Amino acid sequence: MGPTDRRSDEDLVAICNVGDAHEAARAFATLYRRHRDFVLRVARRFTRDRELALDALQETFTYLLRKFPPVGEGLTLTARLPTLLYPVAKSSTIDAMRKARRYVGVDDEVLAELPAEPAAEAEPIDAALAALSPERREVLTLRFVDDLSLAEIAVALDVPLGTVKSRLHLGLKELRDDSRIKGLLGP
Amino acid sequence: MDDRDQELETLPPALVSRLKASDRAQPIVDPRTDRAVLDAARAYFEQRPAAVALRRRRFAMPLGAAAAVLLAVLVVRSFGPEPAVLARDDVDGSGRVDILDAFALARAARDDASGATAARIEELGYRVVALDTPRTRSLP
Repeated sequence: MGPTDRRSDEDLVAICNVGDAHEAARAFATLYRRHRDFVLRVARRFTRDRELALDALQETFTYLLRKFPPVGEGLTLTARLPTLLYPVAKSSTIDAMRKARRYVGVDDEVLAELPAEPAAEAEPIDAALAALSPERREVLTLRFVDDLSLAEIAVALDVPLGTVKSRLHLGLKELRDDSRIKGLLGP
Repeated sequence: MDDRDQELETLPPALVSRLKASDRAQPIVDPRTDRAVLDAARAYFEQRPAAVALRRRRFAMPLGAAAAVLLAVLVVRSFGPEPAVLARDDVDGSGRVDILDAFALARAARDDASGATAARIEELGYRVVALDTPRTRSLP
């Protein structure tokens, strides 16, 4: 099946769990093609390095692959797949950055919060977003760019729903107050 | 602010569009990575039939034996007459149940020596017909 495969992620995951080798490989390929760009976008939010982002992509799907038998016990989706992939993509990117020794001596917690630097020619919206705290920027991005619900964001970030709401509210307020994007916000 | 309000809290569509466009501005196409991931998936899943076959071999003998015993019990219980019934029907003591036993029973009824009735003779006659196969005819 190609990119037009209409089977749900749940169906494809079920085939990866119990299908024969050929079926499972095809189902996994469909999942990969469907979510590859999302994982790459997540990686690029933390690093501008193309090769590191590709390493993170490979690591993320290797992690997913090993959830299925014969090594894994099988995967049960309790939320949409991007919700599961997000934290894996994020930590894979940070691991790749650490391995590449680009941030030698930087504390892991600080590293985890590092955003990719905005490009020099960044749009005002990028600059405004980059000015937010990493936690607020992350929630805003998941909500408005990735279209995750608040509950899904809470799962993806492994934080309470109330924390997500608070970060979203404060992030939006900060954006609305940013003079660089006043024109985009309307009267 | 309840959950619904929070979900509805949003940005102007133009701003959302710009955010999305910016996030997707630098697509990465890398066939080598695609190939590496998909090849790894194929190799990974190819381990699966071997594992399944191993499990099948491990359980094949005991499962086969259990199935054979169960089948034998079912066959005997379904089709095999009770030994006590066969012994009672062997009226002439030949070790077989056949039409001669029905005749012997008829003779006993005629002599009024066994209390045999016409119904009993008829019943035995039907049973002899039903038993008329090599497997069930002989007594154990």
